[in-house]
Amino acid sequence: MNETFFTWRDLLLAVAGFAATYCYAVLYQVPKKALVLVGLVGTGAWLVQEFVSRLGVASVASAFIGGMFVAMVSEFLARRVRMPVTVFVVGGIVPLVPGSKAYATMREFVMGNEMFGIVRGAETILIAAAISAGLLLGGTLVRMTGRARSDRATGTRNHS
Amino acid sequence: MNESSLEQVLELCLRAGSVMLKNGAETSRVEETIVRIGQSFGCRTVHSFATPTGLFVSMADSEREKTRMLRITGTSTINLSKVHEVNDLSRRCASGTVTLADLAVELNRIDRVPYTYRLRYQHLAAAVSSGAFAVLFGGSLPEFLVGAVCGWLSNSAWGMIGDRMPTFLRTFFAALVGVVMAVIGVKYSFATHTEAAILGAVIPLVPGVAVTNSVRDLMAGELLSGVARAADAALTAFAIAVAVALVLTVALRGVVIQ
Repeated sequence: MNETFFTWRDLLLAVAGFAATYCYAVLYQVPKKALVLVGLVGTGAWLVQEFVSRLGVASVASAFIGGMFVAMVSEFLARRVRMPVTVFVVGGIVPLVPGSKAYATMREFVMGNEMFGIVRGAETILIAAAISAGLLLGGTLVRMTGRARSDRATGTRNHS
Repeated sequence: MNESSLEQVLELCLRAGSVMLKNGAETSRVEETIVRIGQSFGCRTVHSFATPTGLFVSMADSEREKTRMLRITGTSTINLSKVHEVNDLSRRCASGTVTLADLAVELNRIDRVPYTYRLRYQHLAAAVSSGAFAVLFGGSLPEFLVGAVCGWLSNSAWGMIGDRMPTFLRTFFAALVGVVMAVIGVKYSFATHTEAAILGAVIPLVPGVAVTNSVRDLMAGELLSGVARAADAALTAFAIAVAVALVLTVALRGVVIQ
């Protein structure tokens, strides 16, 4: 946070995030109606993670918040358009992938700096775990506050 | 409900379940869908147990009970549209607007569609997605181009290897193709940011569906498939990491011959 909070470069990155998520969703053959929404979930996830970490939050915590955002928005959208939640989550989490950290891990190991490599590797695994934990918590929270699981199928049906 | 119709419902439930599992649905959703279909056609008790590689369904009406098991092999293509369609179909069954014959026809149709987006759009999507991620990881226009070409190559390699190799090797070789081309591309073009190009090149291989399904299965209390899919995701990520490390060893340190 030196001069401005939001620059033109950020706008370009947001557009790139949208294109990336949209096309990644095409690879997994997401339903046509949901493509734009998936792209928006991915863009939102990236923006949330980026700006939370710019506020000075640690990278693991911002990954957690990003994952939680994806889970909550996906759960909400899935109910609105009546589609599986997976459709939205798959695209949404991709911009959160700790690619740079994983790359740094590999580079340190290859260059012979094993200690730095281990540190970077631990960071990578922690971030991946934080995203999963965020998804878990976000999804569970929305389900708790939503309607009771009336349509959740169980083994036997009561004929009343 | 006579014996043959119970048999038929069981058969269709297995069909629906296998279509969903093959195309990347989480197991909890598969189990729910099977139970929903079975109950909407008059079975009193329906139990189903799904794992990523197999499916067990047991159904009973007032007189008899039938159980069958189905092995799922070759989970090569993921198509979330099909998952959505079968899920939607099961809800329509539950609301009573679909007959047993309709269900069979619809399932056949869904299963037979090869893909939702044509192959050329998939190639284009792999390229644009990789390029855009290269920008997201700190690149600019040259990295976009290198990343796009290499992402397209690694995605094509992944498709060409097909089911001939186990998943780990398949991902490894696909990533190898993409990363080698990315390093070469950066060396002989205007691109300067190797990291961005390499990360873009491996993006089509990132195990997004495995991670999502693992988390959602664990959420639903499906410990077996949740852990299995977490292991799948970890293995895939590891395969990509090994490919990147191998190429970086040659690229950064050169080949040392004693």
